[in-house]
Amino acid sequence: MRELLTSGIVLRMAKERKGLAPFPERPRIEDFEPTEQEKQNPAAKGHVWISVFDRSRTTSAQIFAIRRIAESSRPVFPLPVEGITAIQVEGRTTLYVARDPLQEPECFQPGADGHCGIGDLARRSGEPRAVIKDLCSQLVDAVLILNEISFSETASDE
Amino acid sequence: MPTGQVSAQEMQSTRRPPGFPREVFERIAEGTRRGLRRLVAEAWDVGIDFERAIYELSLRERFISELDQQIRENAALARAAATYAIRHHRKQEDINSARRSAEEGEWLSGVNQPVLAEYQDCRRELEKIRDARLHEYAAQWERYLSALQSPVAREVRTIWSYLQSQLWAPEAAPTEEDGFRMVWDRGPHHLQVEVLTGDRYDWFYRNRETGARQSEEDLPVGTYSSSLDATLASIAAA
Repeated sequence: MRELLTSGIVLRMAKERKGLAPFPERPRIEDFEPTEQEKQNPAAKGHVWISVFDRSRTTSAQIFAIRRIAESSRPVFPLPVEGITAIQVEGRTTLYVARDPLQEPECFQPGADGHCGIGDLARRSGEPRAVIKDLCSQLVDAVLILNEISFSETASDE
Repeated sequence: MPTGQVSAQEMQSTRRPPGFPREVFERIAEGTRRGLRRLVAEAWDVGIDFERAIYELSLRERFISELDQQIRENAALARAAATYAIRHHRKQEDINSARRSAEEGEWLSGVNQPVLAEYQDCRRELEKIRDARLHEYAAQWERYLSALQSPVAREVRTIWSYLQSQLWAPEAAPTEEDGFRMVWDRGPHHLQVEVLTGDRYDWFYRNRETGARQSEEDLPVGTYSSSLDATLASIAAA
């Protein structure tokens, strides 16, 4: 039985940057494509999940530590769970966010209890590749932008 | 005092109805103005996603514009109702109520207009910065492409030579399957072209506003469908 999230924010760490982009900080399609390791996750029980962390339990710094990657060496993208669970393509149910406890030794690290998966990103037999392209492009759009700055300031920003 | 006329005290209360949170609106408007100016000032340094920010701003512009249109229509209706009430010697309370509604709407529209103008100015500034960045990026892209080491480098160059008359230099990266993906985003338009091994390519288009989707898969490199051409034309026109 999957423990599903219905609200909150999850964090997705970008993949190592390859290629070229005019706006390097923006999320890319490949950031949401499942890695080979993610495709093999048995906890997904036949589905494919991409790894994210519940922001209420895990900080960006903890994600880098868990993944053994130099801190702040990649963007970490915040996505609202409500935005993810609204994503759908024809002929499929909506995406979901499920808790996905990490295995040893990562599970002992601070913030490990926030680990979750976004699914289902498995390409089904006979399905056009466009389905996964569509889902990944919608995940890119679900990323909250301007998390560092906003369109408006409050008096306390002065 | 004849029916339809109001005292100076009543006029004052009509202009500043008690309990109407004008200060709140003014604070929001001022905060928005300052936020947008800071956004433009810092945009380059913080490395924001310009296409996305410009699109979000245009959506807000549209929302405020439509809201303002509705407010002005309601204010005009309230003004007409006040005139009607005066002509037909309705109760002073009704006249004042209609006038208050009209003045509140006109005041709110007066707050909206400069905020809308700020959004438009901010978007135009960001568009200028984006265009400057894309201009610089085009040269980087050409250098990158000419030096590209990929099993599909030749195919990528062939497809780009076709697309470049309609599209700007893309966000691009090799895929895990030894292919190569190019992506364009502008406003509601999202386009991916993925070059595959074996002299083939896929393309996928999604319109964020209409929900329209189009795609073709396993096309031979060097062939371009009328559907792709129509999609390219719609993006180029954006």
